[in-house]
Amino acid sequence: MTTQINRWKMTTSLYQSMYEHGILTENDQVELINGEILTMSPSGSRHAACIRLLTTLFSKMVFEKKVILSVQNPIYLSEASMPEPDLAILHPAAHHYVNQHPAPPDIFLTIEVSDTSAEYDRTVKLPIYAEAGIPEYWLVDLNTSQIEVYHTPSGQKYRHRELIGKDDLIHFRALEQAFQAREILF
Amino acid sequence: MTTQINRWKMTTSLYQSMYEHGILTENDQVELINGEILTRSPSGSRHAACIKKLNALLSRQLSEKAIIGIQDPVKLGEDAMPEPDVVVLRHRADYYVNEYPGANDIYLAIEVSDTSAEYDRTVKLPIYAKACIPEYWLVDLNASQIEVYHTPNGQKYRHRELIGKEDQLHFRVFDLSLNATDIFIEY
Repeated sequence: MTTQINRWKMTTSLYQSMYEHGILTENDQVELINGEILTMSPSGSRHAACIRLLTTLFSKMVFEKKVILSVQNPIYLSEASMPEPDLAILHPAAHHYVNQHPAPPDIFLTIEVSDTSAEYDRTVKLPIYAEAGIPEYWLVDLNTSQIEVYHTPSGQKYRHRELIGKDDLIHFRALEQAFQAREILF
Repeated sequence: MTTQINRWKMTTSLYQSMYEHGILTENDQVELINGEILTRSPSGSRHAACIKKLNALLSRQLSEKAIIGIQDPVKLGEDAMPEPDVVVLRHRADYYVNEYPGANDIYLAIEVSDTSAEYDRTVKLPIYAKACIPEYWLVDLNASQIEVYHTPNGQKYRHRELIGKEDQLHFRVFDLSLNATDIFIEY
């Protein structure tokens, strides 16, 4: 018999107040997911290196001011979720989102790099991104050396999933750019 | 396959700050259990009546000897601040105006269970035992039975006694007896 535990759910505005009052600090590796504060696992070196590769991949577009890159920073998705994706590729804006966190209309693509967390990124993160209408989501699974590309959100799912191997091309749909997957995968 | 979810754990002092800054208010029916904020189910009338009756019975017998707290927070260690339905506290002239009662102030914690017996047995009990609350009563309204636990040992109590409706209930610290039948009001 499993005992039912009813957790108190928090809103993004209360979550932000917790930062303002120092109850949460930037040293807390946490994100708000479905009204609950969850801890994020610390990055291993492989995970961190893949994020660096991805950052490099998009740097030309950043330089050309076609996108803004946000690395492991919060995005506002709803009153219940404020995750910190490994990468969020944002619409260019002179203000660089100084006054508020980027919201779904600002986001082209979110990327999660999974070293040990693929299942979490697939079953917890994906539905949140889809529900918020993020047009595209990449899950870079370092253990299978495969990238799961999801697009066309529909409810808590994405209508399309494409599996990209090391020798394939990967398309960033919003700006019609193609990259070699091996530039990201080890 | 179950996905592992790692919840952020909070301390009692951060939990108290949340109240100070209005992030939590007294309208939130919550308690801190093992570093997590859990919601408490609203009281049904039968549950509420039983608490009132316990309050009356205990107050009558203990008057100046102890303080009765009804659904008030108590601070148990750094990760738990539950709100037991009834607590019998060490008497203090200031009625704990400056701080919440701690584990050492508590003689007895009581939970009245209408629908929550399993929760009170598997989640609450280990916390009370761990904090060394000497005695814990779980009044199960559906079973018309009171589970009396005493002598905490780790996250358990060494002794459990099952008290039926016709039995006498013994409150060990004050050596007083109650009739279980007085606690179970006709419903």
